[in-house]
Amino acid sequence: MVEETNNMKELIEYIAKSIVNKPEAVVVTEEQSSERLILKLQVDPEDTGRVIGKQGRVAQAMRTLLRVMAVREGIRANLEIVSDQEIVSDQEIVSDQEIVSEAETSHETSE
Amino acid sequence: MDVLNKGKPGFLGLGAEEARVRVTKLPAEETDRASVIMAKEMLGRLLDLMRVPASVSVRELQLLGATTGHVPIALDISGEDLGILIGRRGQTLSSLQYLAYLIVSHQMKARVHLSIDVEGYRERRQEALRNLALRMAEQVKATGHSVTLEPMPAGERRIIHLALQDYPGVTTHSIGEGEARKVTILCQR
Repeated sequence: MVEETNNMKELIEYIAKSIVNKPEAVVVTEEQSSERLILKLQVDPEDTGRVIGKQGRVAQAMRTLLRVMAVREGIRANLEIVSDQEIVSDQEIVSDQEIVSEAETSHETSE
Repeated sequence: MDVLNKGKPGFLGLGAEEARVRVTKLPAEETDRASVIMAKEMLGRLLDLMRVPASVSVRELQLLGATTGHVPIALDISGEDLGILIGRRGQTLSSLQYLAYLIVSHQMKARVHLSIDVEGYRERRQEALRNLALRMAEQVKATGHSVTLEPMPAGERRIIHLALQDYPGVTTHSIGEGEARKVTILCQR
């Protein structure tokens, strides 16, 4: 199972690095409890919108692929997008809305 | 990019000559070919990372026009037990296709349209949707009551609209927003 979760991390890393402008700033960390894996994706503040997408569509698509892998392994996996709140709030309103919708969707998928 | 004249630095800015270069835009056809190769490799990589043993092939017919004529690059995934790649109502396949589109477009710095199919799923789904549309249209005509179908993504709603555009006695509309958008079949007075 350890191998499989490493793969989930790699998958998210690969996707994120392929769609941002600063791939070198992409960091994925894992937090594992008994049967739940939390992947935290951190990107350059300017790339936050790219990994979330309009109405959280990009993040949602990444979660869908993660779910396929998690179900097969019989574990639960969550994806969180970590962003520096101060920097995010300085961005345009569109980004703020994306952050909000992101929070909503992550709440939905937590069940 | 060809350098026609390297230019001269001059002396203390005197007698300097600007460099002249000819910049040739990569022909669309080459961009298309590069996109096709990139799309195929990238999808293979995604499946590897997901630990899904499957192979990816490109439908040759639609090789060109991906970046110019809005003809999608058609990729077929084949293998055993690929139901997990399709998901409920094709949701997993949609996610895979959307991420693949973002990755290739970002790398190519142009919108590259992709259409990914798994073991003929899209063909079968299209056929099923066409049949559903015709059956429901029949019912609407017979009863005079409109019928609203379950929510569908844009591509699937389009199949319903097209299937019924020449069907006498009914019209179709889409209602609702975003994920919840669905097709209504109405009796035409």
